[in-house]
Amino acid sequence: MNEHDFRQNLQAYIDNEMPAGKRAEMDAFIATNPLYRLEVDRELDFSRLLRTYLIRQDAPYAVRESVIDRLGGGTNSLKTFLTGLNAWFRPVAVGFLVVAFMTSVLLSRSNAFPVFSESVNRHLECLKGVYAMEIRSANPQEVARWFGGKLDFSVQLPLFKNSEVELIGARLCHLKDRKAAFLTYEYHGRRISVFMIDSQDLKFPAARKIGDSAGATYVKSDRGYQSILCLNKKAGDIARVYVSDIAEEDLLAMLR
Amino acid sequence: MMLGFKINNHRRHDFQDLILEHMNALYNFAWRLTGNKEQAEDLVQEAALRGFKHFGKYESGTNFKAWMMTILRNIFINQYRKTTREPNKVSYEVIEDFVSLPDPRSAEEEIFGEHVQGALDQLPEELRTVVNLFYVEGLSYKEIAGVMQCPIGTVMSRLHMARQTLKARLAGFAEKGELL
Repeated sequence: MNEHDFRQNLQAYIDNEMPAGKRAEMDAFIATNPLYRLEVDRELDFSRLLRTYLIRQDAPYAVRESVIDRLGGGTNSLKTFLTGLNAWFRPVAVGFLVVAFMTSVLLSRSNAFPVFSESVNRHLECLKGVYAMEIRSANPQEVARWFGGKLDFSVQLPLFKNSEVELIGARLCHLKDRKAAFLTYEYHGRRISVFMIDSQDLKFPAARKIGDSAGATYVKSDRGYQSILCLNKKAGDIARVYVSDIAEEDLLAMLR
Repeated sequence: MMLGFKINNHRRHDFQDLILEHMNALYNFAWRLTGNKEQAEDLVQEAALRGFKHFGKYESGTNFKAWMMTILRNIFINQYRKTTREPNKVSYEVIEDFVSLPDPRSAEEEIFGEHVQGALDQLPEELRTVVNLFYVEGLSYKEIAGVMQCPIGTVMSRLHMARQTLKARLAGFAEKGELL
């Protein structure tokens, strides 16, 4: 290898795109002159700099949602299925589908909405960084404004008795198939997630009930996290779910 | 026919899982191409629909992200390019002297980060794409060649040219005294 080969192969060497044998040859050549080493280090620094500063723009939640909607609606599998059936068999198939549909509706009605497990799932996804906040702000008015028109209900941010509970941000999410407001707070480094959903027609799973003059509060522990479901008559059908690893009595004491 | 119906549903679920896994990468790529949030969103949606339509042609086990990026870039070239802002062309003069760049941990890192992004946005689409695919998405030369439908040698020369241009732009920034 000579200097010309070195320069010609430098980029592939820096980018780890060189076969092992040729790489060893480059290593040996670089070791012959500290100036070559310096040049390699500068190129590596520049690559590191680009990787550090070129930031990825994450897809907004609305894009994900829209893509799923369009994929689900656009394929028209049912129509394809029915069109392909013989004419004499079509009424039987339609009847079968109607019965299947009715059965699934009845079954789904008898099932309770998994509000606790779904809330903990979203909370964990947020902790793992899967769910980034769509708005980051400590200003409740600003966050409430951000939700304007995004949900079928008005989002009124919860109030905490403890002033050290800090609002971090918010985003939209789904609890099962129901669209929800997702707010995230921090209290001495401990995360509190708050979910707000329209609870109309929902049947919730069994949980320990705690008496409350203004409404009902249900508590459930799941995977080491406390979930507190608050159904407040004054707030109409809007249910709030608080999820945190903060001790149950401490978390309850914070809620107004 | 019932079997076909089931296969269709399985296909859709498989595709949805894959597309959601790579959604951030696809959106970022679209955003870099168009430089426009709304167009990036439209481009991703269109690419997803086209990808699903041709999902049968995707070879399981190969790089799905690269496959989708090829589709997305083809749509961009055919439909969006004419209406999207094309950044100012830069001269590709290669600078010989490397000017020291700031310590990434310095207080100016945020300002510097904006300059890096700005310098990238000024590159022509071919150079911008190759930098994004290599440094942000971590694709190999071979995968980039697939996305850009060009030989590996072209990928290397574009990457080289992009690096030199970015160096020149960022060195200019350092010389203006806005750094350090």
